[in-house]
Amino acid sequence: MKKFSQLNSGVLFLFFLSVIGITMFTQNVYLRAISLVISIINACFFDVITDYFKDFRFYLAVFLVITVSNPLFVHRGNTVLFYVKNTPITLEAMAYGANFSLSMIAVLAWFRIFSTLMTAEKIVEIYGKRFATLGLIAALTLRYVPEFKRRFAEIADAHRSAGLICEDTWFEKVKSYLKIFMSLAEFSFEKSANTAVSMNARGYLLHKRTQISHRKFQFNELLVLILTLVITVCVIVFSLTHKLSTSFYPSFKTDFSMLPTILFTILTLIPTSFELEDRLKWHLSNAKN
Amino acid sequence: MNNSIPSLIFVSVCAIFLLISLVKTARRKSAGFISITAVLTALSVVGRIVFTPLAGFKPCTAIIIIAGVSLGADAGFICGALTALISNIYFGQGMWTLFQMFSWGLIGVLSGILSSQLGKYKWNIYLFGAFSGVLYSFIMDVFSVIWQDGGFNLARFIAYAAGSAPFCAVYAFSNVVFLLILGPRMIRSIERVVLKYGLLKEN
Repeated sequence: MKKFSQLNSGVLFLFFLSVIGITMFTQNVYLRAISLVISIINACFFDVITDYFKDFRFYLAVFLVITVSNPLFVHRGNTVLFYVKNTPITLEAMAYGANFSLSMIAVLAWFRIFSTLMTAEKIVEIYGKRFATLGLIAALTLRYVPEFKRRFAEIADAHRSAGLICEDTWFEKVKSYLKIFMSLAEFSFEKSANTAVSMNARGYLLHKRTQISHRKFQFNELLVLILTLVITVCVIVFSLTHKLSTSFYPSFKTDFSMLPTILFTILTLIPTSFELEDRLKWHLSNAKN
Repeated sequence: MNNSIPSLIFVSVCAIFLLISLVKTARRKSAGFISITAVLTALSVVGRIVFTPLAGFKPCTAIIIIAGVSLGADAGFICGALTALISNIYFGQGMWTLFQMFSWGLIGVLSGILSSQLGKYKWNIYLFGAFSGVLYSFIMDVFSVIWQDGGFNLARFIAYAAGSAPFCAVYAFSNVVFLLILGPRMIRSIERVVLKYGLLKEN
């Protein structure tokens, strides 16, 4: 089992929030490039690398379209490449587009890992405590969605066998889909009353809510939490004091400072290090035997 | 950047709206309210999934408006925000999840606040449906521009708006169609269930 995904869900959420936030809001080219490269390394360990290669053409298209189209909207910058109908096309605007698309691809890549690790249960675990009503509704919805999908298919089958569905023209299709949808709605409203009655019967709103998971906060989680917080604060401080700023207009200039770059590399390598540790242990124990 | 002040105001207004709505909905509600809101949210998510063959023709906004009109602003906001969050588990999470949560939540709250006006004349709710399709498209465009430029760039906004104009028209048209067909029947059956089982009664 993946060791990193078993950490406390709040810590995991904070980690992803910090990494994705830094990738999105920093203008520094080095940090964005590191983020992209290391997200690919992390993806190797969480079995999403095949999805990456599937999406590779899409990422390339995003990169090209944004890089080429940005100079059409922004005309600032010193290095004029050529003129299109008296409007200058500048190298700096193109560089800005490339930098932006780099961050966008990195964010998309991180979100892929995020959605494999942060399953629905973990999201409910985080929000269930603070926003009780919202968390409960989210949990109920997550349970209803697969059931309603199945029910929709069943009703569609019944309608089809009764000859009620006509899919010849587009309008007929909409009409028959809506007919099925309306039967689903009527059915599920009755079901909601049932749920409410059984919630009341089990004493909802009579006492405070209790939590199922009583897991203690482990050393690993504390380590990840502290690292995440310290590095995020460090990067924010460095970017507020203009040590990490990048300016594109009028001419391209990017700052490089050692400490936040190394710290950010460490932060993004945390998932990989967890998995590496696990695999090393496994191989060592195999080698002994 | 010289254009950053209006976009900063826009983003902070959105953040404040989301925070206020979250705090207002954090109060514990009756079991009936929770279950019927969950059913409406699930219906809207399932609608987004099963209507995929009819590109762009989604009942989500219509169902969020129905939730707001028949159950109030709280239910509208919860239904809108959770529809974006949960349906993107199937469609792919991203930065746009937050924007969608904001725009659908706003549509839900607006329909809850305006519910007495929307129920007065038959045409008001259809007009509101068309308007919310345009609003959704507009907010998504503004967010894309702000995210890409770090400020507001009018030329890029016009290009985006022109690019998304067909989708905007489809959204508005589909909202009206769904409200026309689903609206009266769904509102009536929600009212019936609420009355029959006393769902909104605080105990």
